[in-house]
Amino acid sequence: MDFIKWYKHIIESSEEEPPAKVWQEIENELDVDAVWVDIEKNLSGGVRKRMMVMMTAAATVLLIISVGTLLFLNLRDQDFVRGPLYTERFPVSPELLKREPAIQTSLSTALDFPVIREIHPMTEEKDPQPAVHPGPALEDLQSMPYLEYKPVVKERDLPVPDLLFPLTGEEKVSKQTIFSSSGYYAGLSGHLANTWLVNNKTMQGLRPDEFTTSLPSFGYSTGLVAGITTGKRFGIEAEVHLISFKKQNYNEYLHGKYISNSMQFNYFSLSLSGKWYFTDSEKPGRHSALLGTYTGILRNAIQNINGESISLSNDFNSGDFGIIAGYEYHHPVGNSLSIGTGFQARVGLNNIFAGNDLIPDYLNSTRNASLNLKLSVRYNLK
Amino acid sequence: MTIKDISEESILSGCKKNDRRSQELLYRHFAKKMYAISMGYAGERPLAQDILQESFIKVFKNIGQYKNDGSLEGWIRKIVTNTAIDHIRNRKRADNYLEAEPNDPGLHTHNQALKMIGFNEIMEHVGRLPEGARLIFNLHALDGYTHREIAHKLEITEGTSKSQFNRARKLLINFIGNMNL
Repeated sequence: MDFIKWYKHIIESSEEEPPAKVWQEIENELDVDAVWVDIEKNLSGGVRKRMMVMMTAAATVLLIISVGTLLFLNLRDQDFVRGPLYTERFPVSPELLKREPAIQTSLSTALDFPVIREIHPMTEEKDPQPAVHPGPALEDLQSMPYLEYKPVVKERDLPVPDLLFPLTGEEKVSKQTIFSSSGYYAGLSGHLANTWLVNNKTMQGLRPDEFTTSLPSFGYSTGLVAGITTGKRFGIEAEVHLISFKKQNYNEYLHGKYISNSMQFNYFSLSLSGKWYFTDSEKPGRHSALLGTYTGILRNAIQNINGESISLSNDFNSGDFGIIAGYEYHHPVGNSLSIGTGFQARVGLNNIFAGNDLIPDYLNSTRNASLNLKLSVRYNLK
Repeated sequence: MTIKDISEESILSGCKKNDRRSQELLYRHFAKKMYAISMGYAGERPLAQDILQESFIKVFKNIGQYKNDGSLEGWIRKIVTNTAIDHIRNRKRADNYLEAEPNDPGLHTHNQALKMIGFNEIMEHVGRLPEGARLIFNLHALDGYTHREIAHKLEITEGTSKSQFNRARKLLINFIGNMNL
């Protein structure tokens, strides 16, 4: 008998059943695998979602900057080159016409009007609606030449020289209003914020039947603000906060004791927002809505458990970013200063928890959120 | 219900969809044979069970790669064999070979003995072989690998494969011949 053939036969015809635990172990392994596949799918879905949100936020910022820049450039061109907001014709007395070169010089100087396009007799051109001013009789006016010019935009009452007929009260108001369009400003800003660390634990802590209790927490931030108002109703504002404290206080039941717990994060924060003004005029004040994004760089993170502090800087990501929506009101104080107040809702978009030896990042996904009361003082540079 | 009651195609299709019932049917159908093969390589039941478990997990995870270009049993068997090799390699005792040449056993003795011996007895003796020698013996005797293929797979010389196989065969026959039958 061939030993090898015999050996092969005896092995392959074996009727010994493997123990039941082998299949149970296989099942367990496959179950774990299936669960992991689900988790992985969800995680990759989460990553995709986060990527989408990040890209949306980036696109929003880009859009705000692009639209703002376009508006700014367009309106500046209109104001300074075409001057569509204010083109008037003023009758000039015949005496002045005799001194034509002097008129141009004196008008340019007195009104700060850079463009005096032409001086020609009114009779040579059919003017549909010449301005009506108190003074000379209509037939006199019709025989007069007139000046056509474009003014530089100025946010003040225009000095009307003696050479011209004075403007009516209505005209003064309309010109003053229209002239308050674009400019730059810079100043100081501070936020008092109701801050939240949004994760499963703090959300559960809001439920009355949970041992953990999330408590109202407040932080603050201070820094610089600068902005551009472009055109009548649109503006872009940037804020740089050198310190930005966010806190989350909560009580929890740990090892048989009810302990107080507090986490404090200090960020360097930069925000960029587009502002939409509800009114054209600076006076008596301007209401605006804002929408933008912020990004923060973590300076340090500290946890305080029953008075004992530990650093959490390694457990949290250095970057935080999110979106801002809010409302502001600015009130002028004097010619160049204004003070403002408003509120902002800030919602973080990324998971700031980096994970540690005990908990992977995805099991304790944490986001920053806050409701800020904003105070600012700004100086109008132009 | 057994795999014979359902077509292999539908079982395979179910396994590819991670259907647990199909997976169990497939396992139940091949478990005995693959367990015995694992025993041949492992020489002991606990290790054989580990090899079987790991092999079937690999089978279910990679079932999508099976292209129907050979028998399903052959494909699973290959996975079992490779898993067994990996296990034995990981134990770092696969270079444990037979050194002394055993005496040539009498043919008469072993023919008589083979008629009386069963799976458990032969497994007991296979388990006594050094792991390297057992691996070579099973690769050649059970799975039909040539010595060249074994040499390539285990990174040994073809001569080593041949000599280890012969020594293992002689030793097993001697063991059987010395049994009190």
